[in-house]
Amino acid sequence: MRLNDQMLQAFDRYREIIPEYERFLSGLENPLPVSIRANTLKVGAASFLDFMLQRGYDLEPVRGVEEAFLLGGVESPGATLEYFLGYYQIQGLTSMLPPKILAPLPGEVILDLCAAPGGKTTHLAQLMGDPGLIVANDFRGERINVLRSHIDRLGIASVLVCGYHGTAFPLRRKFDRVLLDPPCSGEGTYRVGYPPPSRDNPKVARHLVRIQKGLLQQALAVLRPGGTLVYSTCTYAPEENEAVLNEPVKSGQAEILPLSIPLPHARGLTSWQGESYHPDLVNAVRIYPHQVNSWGFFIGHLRKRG
Amino acid sequence: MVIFASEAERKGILDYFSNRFGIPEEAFAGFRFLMGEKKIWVVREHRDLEGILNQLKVESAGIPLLRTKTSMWKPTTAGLHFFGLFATRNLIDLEGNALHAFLEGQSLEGPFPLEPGFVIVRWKGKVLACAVYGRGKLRSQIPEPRGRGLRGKIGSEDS
Repeated sequence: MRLNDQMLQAFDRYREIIPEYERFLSGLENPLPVSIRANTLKVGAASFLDFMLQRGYDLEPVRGVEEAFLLGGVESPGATLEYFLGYYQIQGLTSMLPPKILAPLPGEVILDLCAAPGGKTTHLAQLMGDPGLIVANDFRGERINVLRSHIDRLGIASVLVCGYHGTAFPLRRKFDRVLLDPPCSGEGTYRVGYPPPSRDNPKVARHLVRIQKGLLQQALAVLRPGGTLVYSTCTYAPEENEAVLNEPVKSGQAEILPLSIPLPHARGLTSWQGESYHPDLVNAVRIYPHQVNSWGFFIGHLRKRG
Repeated sequence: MVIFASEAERKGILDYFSNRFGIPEEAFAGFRFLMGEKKIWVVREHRDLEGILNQLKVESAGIPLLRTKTSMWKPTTAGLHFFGLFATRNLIDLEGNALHAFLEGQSLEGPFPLEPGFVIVRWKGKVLACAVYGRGKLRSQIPEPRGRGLRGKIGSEDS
């Protein structure tokens, strides 16, 4: 199958900002591999690989992301015995990066403001080694049930689940680090044969930007001074990415930190369609599917000024 | 909403796991119990835990340990996966045809060296699931949708 005219037109607005644009378009025709994350709270990454290979799975480590593996030849990776036992989580490779960039330390108190379905929350717990505390918040009831089922299966005893609207999360509690992966238009998850992303509807797109800016303000408000925040989306739209981060960076509320990731990527934008952003937005990263065969992602790492 | 278990409630929980499964009190050191409407939760101790529970409306904490809606407490799969490795009593290891039949949702005909009530089923030493033993029969307690997915997932090398 090839990209249809509707999608060619939808992505054409990014022609100037996506490197090797034609490769990007053809990358969207590749099937998405199944990536999984070893639950190192239950089994070390090396032991996991040995165990899975012994059990006859086709498993390939991902260079640079120790706990990540590509799983081949399994029709339903969510219906294996090893999944039931909580040895792994099915998770997009690029969606494993925000928790790693946030890099929680043992004993810290972390907020995941839009936590469901829980891949990043459970990864944060694993990176912290479990002895900290994570508040996983999401107001979407059905998705909270999915989040809880992952917490249970992966055996994570350090997560508290709350159900606030993100923009109304209580301000009385301050956190050491915050992960904000807000609702977005999801363009980065698009592959040929899948439904078109919601950005096609300008009303939806504007609504999402309002939500994202509101969530970022709330996330910064509950972050302790000097604390760090990772903002991530699975969309290419600069309006939902650099433009959202631009406001607190420009106002001096937060600084955007340089970050390095072990996968090919592009830098953040400093301008888009006549609008200029703070020059430090170049510190953000953009990941495209022709660079990494996974979901397209945007990640920015902020520190709240004291 | 969840609230901390009282000292008496904590003792009751520890006694349950000790008496039923031989899990020593020390296995729960560093963990707090929280009482929900129909479940008891277990969460890792943290200096800020109490403060957060007072400041935020927390819907669940850590993992569910016991279902308490009936007079007979029922251990959860998540709780047994976490603490079941410390169990010394009311354990049964299954393999081969018996394991396949168990995962198929069939009752296994005993007798087995188990006390009537909830028991832990292991596979190759790993805690697999909760089962109930009564009248000489062992019945799976894996929730149906999850059990369905597991059927046929134990390879022939396990038979």
